[in-house]
Amino acid sequence: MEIKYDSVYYSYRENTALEKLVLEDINLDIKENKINGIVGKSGSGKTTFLELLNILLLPTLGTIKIGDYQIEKKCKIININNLRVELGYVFGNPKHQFFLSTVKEEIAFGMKQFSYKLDQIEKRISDALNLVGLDDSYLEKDPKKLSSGEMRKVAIASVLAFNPKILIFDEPTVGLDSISEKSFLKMLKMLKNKYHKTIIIVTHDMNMIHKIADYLFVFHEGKKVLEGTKYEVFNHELLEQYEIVRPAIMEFSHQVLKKKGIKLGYRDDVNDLIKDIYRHVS
Amino acid sequence: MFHNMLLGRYYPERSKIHAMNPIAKLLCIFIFMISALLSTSWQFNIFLMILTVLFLLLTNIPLVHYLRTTKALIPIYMVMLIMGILFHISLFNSFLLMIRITSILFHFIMLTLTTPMTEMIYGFEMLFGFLKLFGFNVSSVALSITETIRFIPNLVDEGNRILKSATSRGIDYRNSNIVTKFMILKSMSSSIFELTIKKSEDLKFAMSLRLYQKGPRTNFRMNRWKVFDSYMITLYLLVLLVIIKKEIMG
Amino acid sequence: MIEIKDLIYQYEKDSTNYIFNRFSLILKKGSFTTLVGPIGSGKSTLIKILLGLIKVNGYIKIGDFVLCSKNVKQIRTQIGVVFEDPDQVFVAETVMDEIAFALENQNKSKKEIWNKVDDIATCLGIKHLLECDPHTLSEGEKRLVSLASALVIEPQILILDEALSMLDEISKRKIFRILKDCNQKGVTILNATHDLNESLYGNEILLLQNGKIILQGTKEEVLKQESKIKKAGLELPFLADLSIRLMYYGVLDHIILDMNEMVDAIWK
Repeated sequence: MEIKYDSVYYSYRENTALEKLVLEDINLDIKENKINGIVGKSGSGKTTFLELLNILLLPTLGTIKIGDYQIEKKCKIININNLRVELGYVFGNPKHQFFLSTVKEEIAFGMKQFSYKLDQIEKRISDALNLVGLDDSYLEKDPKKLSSGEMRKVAIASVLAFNPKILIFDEPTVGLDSISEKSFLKMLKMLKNKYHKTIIIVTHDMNMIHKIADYLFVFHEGKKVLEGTKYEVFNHELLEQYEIVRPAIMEFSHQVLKKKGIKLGYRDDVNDLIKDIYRHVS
Repeated sequence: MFHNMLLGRYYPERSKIHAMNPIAKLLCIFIFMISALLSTSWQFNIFLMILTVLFLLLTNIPLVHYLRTTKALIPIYMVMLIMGILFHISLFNSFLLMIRITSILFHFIMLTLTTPMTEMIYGFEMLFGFLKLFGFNVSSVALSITETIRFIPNLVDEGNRILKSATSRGIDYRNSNIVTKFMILKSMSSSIFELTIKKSEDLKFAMSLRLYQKGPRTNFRMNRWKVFDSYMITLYLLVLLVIIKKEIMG
Repeated sequence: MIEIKDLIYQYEKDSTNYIFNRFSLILKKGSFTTLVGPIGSGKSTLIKILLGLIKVNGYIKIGDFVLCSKNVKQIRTQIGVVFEDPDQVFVAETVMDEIAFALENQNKSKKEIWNKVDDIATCLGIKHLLECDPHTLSEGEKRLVSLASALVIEPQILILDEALSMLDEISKRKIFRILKDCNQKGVTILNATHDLNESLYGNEILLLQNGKIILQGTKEEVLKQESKIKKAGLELPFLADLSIRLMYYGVLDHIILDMNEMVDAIWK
């Protein structure tokens, strides 16, 4: 399913004294069946970008193409649920996503709106919970009373339940310890490889996105300023200007190149890096 | 989604009205309410409305915000017209009543848009401070009133948040008819209230952590009394006096 | 500065589920400690205990005061706190009122309040935000406002409870620079987080797991203990990880936590 932004602008509180241009001239193509990372410092427009993608907002100017649908300022989409069922948006703060009293109801909610049959719903709820690593004992619990890791899992399960082709995550690992982060990244890889989902992650955590992204888009002050593979982006000279800090392992290689003129190569793993260092030291 | 610029939310801007002493603002509104309730002739009603609009313009806040209230009030106007017909009040008089109520409401909105909560509490405490002599706990009443006014934008915020979450999973609020809208709101109302109450409790907790206590505390807003404050009060009093003379004394 | 002896705290009375069982801790005055630990280690509970929000058995001394129900308020004037979600704790409609709030509660004079608010806003670079509604600011700005509200009372101890987890790296560095300044002026700082990378900006590390102290010491001492850290479910910062491996291969002889120093040390 193609996702393409064509000269998209978004202004907040248009035509009032508080008008503010949040996104300016965004042109990009999301890579299908890949993990796309949207990075940039806070306030660069990433969350607004997601809300436009999820049709919670309409662009002030420009067009967003999702599959066969074109979204513009003055469009009226018939049967918008046919599009919505393919977009799974997992909120940054799970507390903002939950408003029903049990885990079971939360996971069933999306399916009900998208007209899944009742006998299917029961089974899919269990399947969704299993996919995120939780069991049926969570069904009657109050989602807001769970630990933060469990809340995130339930939030993801309630989106996976209606099987969207596109998964959208807003700051998914904030507040997670490293064990939970590892299991989350593992789950993303499975969703991409086994279930062929297109995944979009918005984050400012460079160390996390470095571990998982296939392709990156860099935002700065409402504009898309860079795009490419993680090596292309993190290798770019203008990165400091866009107020992005490289993941530590890449920053190290960058410093070594800058100060000693030695090209270590951009490694993902500390072990590989050590081998490189050894080669150059001796 | 829901427009929440109106009741309860402070709109930071530089204007004569923003800079007014809150005591003066509260007094003016009080005097205006008496004027509005007393005036029955259409000339005075129109005059009061024009006066209100002039002051609204002075706040430097775009009129669009104030006009949005009238849009939300349309159902109430309908009810008033029907009641008027039922009780044999002429259409003309119902219309005049609507104008008077709207102008009072505009004053209230002007107050909440131009006065931050701490100033409002200060104003209430000063005006009704004499009641302390009779044993009324003025400070806590003032706090409760202002907290209630501030509750409304919180309710609206929570509503918006829940709506976003529901919309992303298939509820099409914007494009549904009024019956569906009502049903959606109904099913979400308990969550909205729960979340807002939790927010108020969080607020109370935060305040106690920073040592808020009922009782004397400094209010650091330097509320000097300026010439403009006296000027405004005099103006409102004059209007009231003219109305009293014409309406009551003939 | 903070001394805890034989702290005992259970979820329910007479249960065997102890959160803290005869827990003791000493935090020196002027230290800048990063408190780390996996979820459930007791970090947030410890902070709530220090703020007097939870009744416990044991001896707790904060500054010159021994914690008891009578002097909780007195002690709170000595501690500034910055929470994870500033939105939950904003009480006022403008930044100016927000910062002044605690001082107003202490019945300071108007002039003193104005001066202090002005000073701290200038110091943290948020003077241009004084008239704004705190809820409309960016995440980094919200935390600066929270920090200003905590610092304006001139506390002896500053506690951060997962306060920086939502920030991007540049905003984090900005805040840590400010914290370092405060620490050098004598404020004892305790930063609770589960991101071990933040410990590089402090001086000492305190590792908690299941209500017990696993490690406590300078960051150089603590970050060498790879196995204990991994056992607690935490990830070593990159430079610490690299140092340990290079020490194993004999390329380095001590742990290096500064990027420039590392580059120079490998290629002398």
